[in-house]
Amino acid sequence: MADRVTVQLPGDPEYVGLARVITAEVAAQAGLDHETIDELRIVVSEACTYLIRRQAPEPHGYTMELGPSGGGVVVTVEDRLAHSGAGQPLAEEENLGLDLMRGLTDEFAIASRKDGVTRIRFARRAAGGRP
Amino acid sequence: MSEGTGMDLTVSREDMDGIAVIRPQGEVDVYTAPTLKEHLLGAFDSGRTRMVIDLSGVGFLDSSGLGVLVGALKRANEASGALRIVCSSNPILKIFRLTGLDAVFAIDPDIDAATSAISSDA
Repeated sequence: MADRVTVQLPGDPEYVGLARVITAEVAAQAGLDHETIDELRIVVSEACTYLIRRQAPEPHGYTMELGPSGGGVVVTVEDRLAHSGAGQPLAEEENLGLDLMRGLTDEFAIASRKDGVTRIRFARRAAGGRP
Repeated sequence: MSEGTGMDLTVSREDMDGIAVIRPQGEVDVYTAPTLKEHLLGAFDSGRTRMVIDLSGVGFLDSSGLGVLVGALKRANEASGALRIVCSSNPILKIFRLTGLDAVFAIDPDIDAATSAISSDA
């Protein structure tokens, strides 16, 4: 059984690839198949990218927590600091990203607090466990 | 042929009978998408308005990459040109379907089909 993993990543877009690598490792340990892992990597990439864009012009980073749950993997990605970007209109890529996050997960929630901190939480079960 | 390199993405360009064939190789995300965008803009700036983007060598594509492709399509349409995508990867085709972009882009399974379609429309 894989343990839960918590990592703090900088806002530099270069580190989104690292978030995908960590996700693939945890998902593999949780027993997810290759195709499901690839789709989970996309969702994680979208979630990290969403926060980085909302943190512009000075992305400060985010915390990612993930681990096995209910025959799949649950992931939470959250801003590390308060900021003013959460209320800005969405760019075209952000809307596409939300479509992908919703379409590739079994559970998905996004919420922003008054201080601008946004939290994205999603779950993806193994292919055989999907509705 | 011209070539440029980002950390996880390489982009090459080949001209085939007046059609620019752009071949990204690697992963296209928020970090590498600007590299792809730079090469596509370079092709437009050098007068190419008929273009095929071959995604055969792309192992990962997210909304950042899709945004670049949408921008290139708009640019091609504004120039009365043409832009087609080559892709036979089911995971990437699923991304196009989930975002509704499979109805926006002309997607072919191989280069020959894409270049033939553009040539026959000319």
